[in-house]
Amino acid sequence: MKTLEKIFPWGVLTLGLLYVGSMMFNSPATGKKGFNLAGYELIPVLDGGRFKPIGSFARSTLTIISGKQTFIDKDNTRQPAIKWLLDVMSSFDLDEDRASGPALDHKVFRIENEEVLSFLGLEPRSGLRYSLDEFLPHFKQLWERAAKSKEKKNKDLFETKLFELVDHLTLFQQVAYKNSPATVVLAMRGKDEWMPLGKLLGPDIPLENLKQIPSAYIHLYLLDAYRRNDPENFNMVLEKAQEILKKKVPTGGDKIEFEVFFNRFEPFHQAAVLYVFAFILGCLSWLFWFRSLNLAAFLLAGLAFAVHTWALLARMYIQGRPPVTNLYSSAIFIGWGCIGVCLVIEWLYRNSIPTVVGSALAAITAGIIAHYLSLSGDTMTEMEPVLDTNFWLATHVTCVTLGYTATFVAGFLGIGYVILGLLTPILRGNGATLLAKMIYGVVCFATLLSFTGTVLGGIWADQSWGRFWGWDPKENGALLIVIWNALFLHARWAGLVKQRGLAQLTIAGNIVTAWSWFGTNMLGVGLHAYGFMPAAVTWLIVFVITQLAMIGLGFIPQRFWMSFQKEPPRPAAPSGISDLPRLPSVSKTSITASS
Amino acid sequence: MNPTTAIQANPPAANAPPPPGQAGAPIPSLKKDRGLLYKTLEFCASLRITVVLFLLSFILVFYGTWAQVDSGTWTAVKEYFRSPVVMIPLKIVFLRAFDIPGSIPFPGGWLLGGLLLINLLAAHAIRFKISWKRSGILLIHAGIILMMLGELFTGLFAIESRLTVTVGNTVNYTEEDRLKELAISDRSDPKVENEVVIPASLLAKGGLIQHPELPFDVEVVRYYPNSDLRNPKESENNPATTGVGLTKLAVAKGETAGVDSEQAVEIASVYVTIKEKGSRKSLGTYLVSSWHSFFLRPPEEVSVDGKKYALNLRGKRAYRPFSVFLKDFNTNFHEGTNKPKSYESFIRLTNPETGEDLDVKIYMNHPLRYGGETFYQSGVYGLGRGTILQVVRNPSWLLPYFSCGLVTLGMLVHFGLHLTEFLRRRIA
Repeated sequence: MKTLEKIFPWGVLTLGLLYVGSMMFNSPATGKKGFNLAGYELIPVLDGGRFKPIGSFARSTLTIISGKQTFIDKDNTRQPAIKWLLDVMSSFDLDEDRASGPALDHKVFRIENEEVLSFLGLEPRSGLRYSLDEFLPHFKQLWERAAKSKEKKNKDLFETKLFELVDHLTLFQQVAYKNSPATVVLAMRGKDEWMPLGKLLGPDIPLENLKQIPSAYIHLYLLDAYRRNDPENFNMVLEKAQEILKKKVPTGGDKIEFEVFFNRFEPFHQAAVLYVFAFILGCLSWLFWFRSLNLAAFLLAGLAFAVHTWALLARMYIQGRPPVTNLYSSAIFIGWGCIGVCLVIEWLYRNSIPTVVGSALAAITAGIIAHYLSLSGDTMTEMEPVLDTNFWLATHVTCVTLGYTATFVAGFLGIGYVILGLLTPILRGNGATLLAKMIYGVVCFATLLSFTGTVLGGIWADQSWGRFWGWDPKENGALLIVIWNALFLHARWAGLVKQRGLAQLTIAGNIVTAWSWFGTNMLGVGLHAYGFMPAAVTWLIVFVITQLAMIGLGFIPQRFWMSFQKEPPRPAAPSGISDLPRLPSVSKTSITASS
Repeated sequence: MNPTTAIQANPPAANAPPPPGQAGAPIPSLKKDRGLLYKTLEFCASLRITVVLFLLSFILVFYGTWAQVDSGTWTAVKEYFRSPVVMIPLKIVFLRAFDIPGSIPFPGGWLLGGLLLINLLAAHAIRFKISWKRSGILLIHAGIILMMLGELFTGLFAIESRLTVTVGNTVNYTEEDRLKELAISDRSDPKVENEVVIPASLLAKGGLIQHPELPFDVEVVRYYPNSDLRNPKESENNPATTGVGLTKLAVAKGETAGVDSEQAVEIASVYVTIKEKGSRKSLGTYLVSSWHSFFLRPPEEVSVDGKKYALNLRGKRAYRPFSVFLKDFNTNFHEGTNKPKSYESFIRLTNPETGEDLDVKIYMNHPLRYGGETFYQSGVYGLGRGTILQVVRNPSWLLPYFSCGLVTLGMLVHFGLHLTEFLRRRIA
């Protein structure tokens, strides 16, 4: 190998490390002429049942309203969520009854529905984000229209989208009136109670008395200093505030600081970027420089995996919970599991297929799907009573999620079989058999994990409400995955299907898993007579169609597949064929169906 | 390295038994008698049939899930999984995209389970030899047989009921959710309460109900298995002629769908005309609704021959030899929110027959096992004034635990063997 080829993978790894490092030491938010916004992010508050930095609250609230953690202000500059929060909280002065200040001009309200836009007298624009000021004239009509259809059970698209906007406005109001989050801590009945500042403001409690409470005084002062554009005093009081408030957090202030760091780093976003590059490098490795690009892809995916792992552990530390507690964390975990399994397989087989498959899966689940799931707010909320058990969360939920993961990996390897076999020469010779072996191994794992996970769920149900198996939609979804994996294994042992058929079966397994993961949740929600479906249902259907298309492609007779051509193919790519992956030799044993 | 020499010249056919004399060959007597019995067993043991049965089970579970969009989980379970045949509505077959009338028959859970059991047992009789290599699969299959039997027994024998008690009170009965009854109680004697109950199945049939044990005749005007109460409008026809039925009207409500995020209990109501025995004189038409006990209202009363009888529509009640006294009930909330974190019931269970006196804390994921039944923290009653405990009697409750242990062990053995084989070959 030439020298350049030899050092290329390490160069790529270095670039990756630099990228990650630069994000880690991401310069914190500095806003309006010297206000220590980075410091303000660290202030602890209580919201949704957990203690968090106010920075997290700002980010998740802005995400709900706007879909992003940043916003564009009047001067077309991108600003951080914490600035938005301060602007909103200081937009209602104690004496005034109206809102004023820059918060009204921030384009944060995302309105996608055309009917709603025209109802509010707005024109569609790129980004679809509008400021309160822009539709303030139609405010009254908005509330009246919403009140009219409030009790309707089956709202149409217009009404649903209208209510989304109303929900966001209500959230905005809550923050503006300082009714959310809980920032003030009072000693009541022998223990510390946290409550929102807004609850204590008003004619009943004289301001002078309120100022006697340290946390209330701090927040009143900070908001006032911010409004008056007084960064010096703001920063000075902020420093003292940190010391006082940190002590009041029962779980200790360290987690709060760590969470702010975690938010700024955005590790899942970084990992997703690295996965995309690893995917590209892996695909390129089949065209030229195989050894070099294969290693580069592997190293980059490995780096992404390390970042991803760190991020998972960080979440576990912050929440004090096992890794999977809600739909968002399940997406993150599945992505992690996929790339983890694929890195192991890649290490064993070294033909870039696992790296490519794993990176694609990780980017899709932990990147795209997780992003969409994060739009509904805080991803680390507390849970309902039946889920308040770390043991079962760590065992059943983790196991079932790993079962999903393995079934997806097998399914995407199956897609790899069809695509690579049909369109490339990579699966010539031993290649197809190797890939089939990979798939078989992963399905074995999938069977074990999905079965054990499902059964653990049954035991949990028995311990919780006396019924091991209730045949409810979510349970049935998990059972379908077990049955499908078992069907694959038995069909293989019976010799009913060969390699190509087995690949197609695993692709169908993707559909089954997607159904179990998302479809079962949508049954009660998305299917109404009005003909429109929530976006998630549309995406699920699109996914199913793509998988069916893959299965369909698999039915093309194999004599037309590039990898199974009888005559050697004419060199199509200029430099690829001579440098094709050198696959390790395998001692082949013909497997009989049973016994 | 010769990659291809390992191909066997004549690979043995999939289902052929090993030649006699080799370890684990099927019992010679069976082999000699290659008559109808063996051929039938061979057919039943076919791996192809296994795959087909898996596919059919898959379809059944899938449609049994979709059925729960319109009907309750309980109904869907009864029709799809705990029956030999199910009529699947075409509407469900097409995933509710088209509203086509009619339905197609499909094998139900019991039929498919039975066939799978036969297939499995036949396969073991014909093909499987007892060997270390096969031990994993034997364990897995044994475990699965146990699990399917467990589900069968649960379907046949399990009884689920609930025990609702408010703080400071004692209760000595449980009520079933799904079976209901109209209870007519005579409370004239302070020491003993005499009850006669009419099961809901008779109420659903409607018409006149007469029985020597009943103090009067009961004519069912209307029975709603699930209902709502609301204020009657002027124009509406109100069947009730007396009592609370004059101020509240019961209206029918559909079954709670299995996919509803709020699994609301079904609350029944019935309009009955009470008629004097013999003279058939009407004493009034009453609305008797489970909503009344839900709201802790005193039951409707009918006077006959100077005696007062209480009318109560409730879940099928079973009186127990023990009593449960609720000392206290706690709801813990997530800090600073209205979101409940956990519920705790502090009860005292006394049994005069056995002399037992137990102080127990029942909370989520920590049930009480007593007298062959298990008591679970199910929910809150009346915003924290009381607790709802789920009481389950299921003699086969341990079967799933055994079966899961067996199957998991079997899988670890089987796939573990595969894995070590694979790794050994790679290292070689």
